[in-house]
Amino acid sequence: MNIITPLLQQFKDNKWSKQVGCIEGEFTKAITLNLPSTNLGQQIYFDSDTELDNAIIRTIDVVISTTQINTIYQNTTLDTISSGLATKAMLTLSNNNREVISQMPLYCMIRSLNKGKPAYFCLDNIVWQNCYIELLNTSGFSTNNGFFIRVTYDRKDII
Amino acid sequence: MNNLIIKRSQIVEFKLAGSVTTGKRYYATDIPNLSRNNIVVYGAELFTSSQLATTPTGNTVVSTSTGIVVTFRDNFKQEFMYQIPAYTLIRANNAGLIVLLKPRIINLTDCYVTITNTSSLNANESVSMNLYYDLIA
Repeated sequence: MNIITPLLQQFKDNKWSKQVGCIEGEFTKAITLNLPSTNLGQQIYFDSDTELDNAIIRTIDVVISTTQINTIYQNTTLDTISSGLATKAMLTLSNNNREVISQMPLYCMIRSLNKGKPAYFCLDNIVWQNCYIELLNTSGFSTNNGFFIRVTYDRKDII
Repeated sequence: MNNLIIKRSQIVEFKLAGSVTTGKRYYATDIPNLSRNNIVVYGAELFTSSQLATTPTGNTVVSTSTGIVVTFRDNFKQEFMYQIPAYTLIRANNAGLIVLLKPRIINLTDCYVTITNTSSLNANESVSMNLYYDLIA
């Protein structure tokens, strides 16, 4: 125990790990990204989001069709992607200089497939309109699909 | 129980270039983001095609992990993670927990995978991983 504790303390101090089952973030919002077309290597950018630009991102959850079959985008109903389609796309998170901060396969952020454990983040410099989802394999995608992303976050001005 | 917090991450690949042979080592492709001395890697997650079908560089991801072991070397050439089964590094196989590592500066191009069984592995497929890292002063 004496050997392990300082290492765990280092992880805690640097915000590299935290308890499973704790409060994830004070706020949560759902974001839908539509597919205007389905081309290989296509990078589909998110709309600008001032709320998230001024937030510390705590978790990102990709919702799939077994959890929520449809998602709403600009008064249109889109089909939420399946777990199979989630293996064919990648989320890239970037800062103001478009430096890639994190690349995450969508499948790894599906909470229900990871025993209910969310993908924890601690990102305070993300510019949401510089973030995108890239199609790495277009098989099975259609323009009726939508990416349903749930983000939890804390506001910077409150912390 | 603790789970990893992602501060930065980078996809890395070990391409099975040429024929796939038992006992052969396949080294990681160089990534400029990770080839710096001011970063420490503190977590790793491996993917098969069940999690990621194709890498961002267009390579097909291996469909099985049970014939692969992974070795990480640090900047002192020390094999601090020696032949860990690839299966163990898949998050979904660990109840959603990401494998935490003692934070180290790694020498990415010295890290490699070794094939222990060639079944279902094909030439030019990639073993793909996400490395979780942070900047240090």
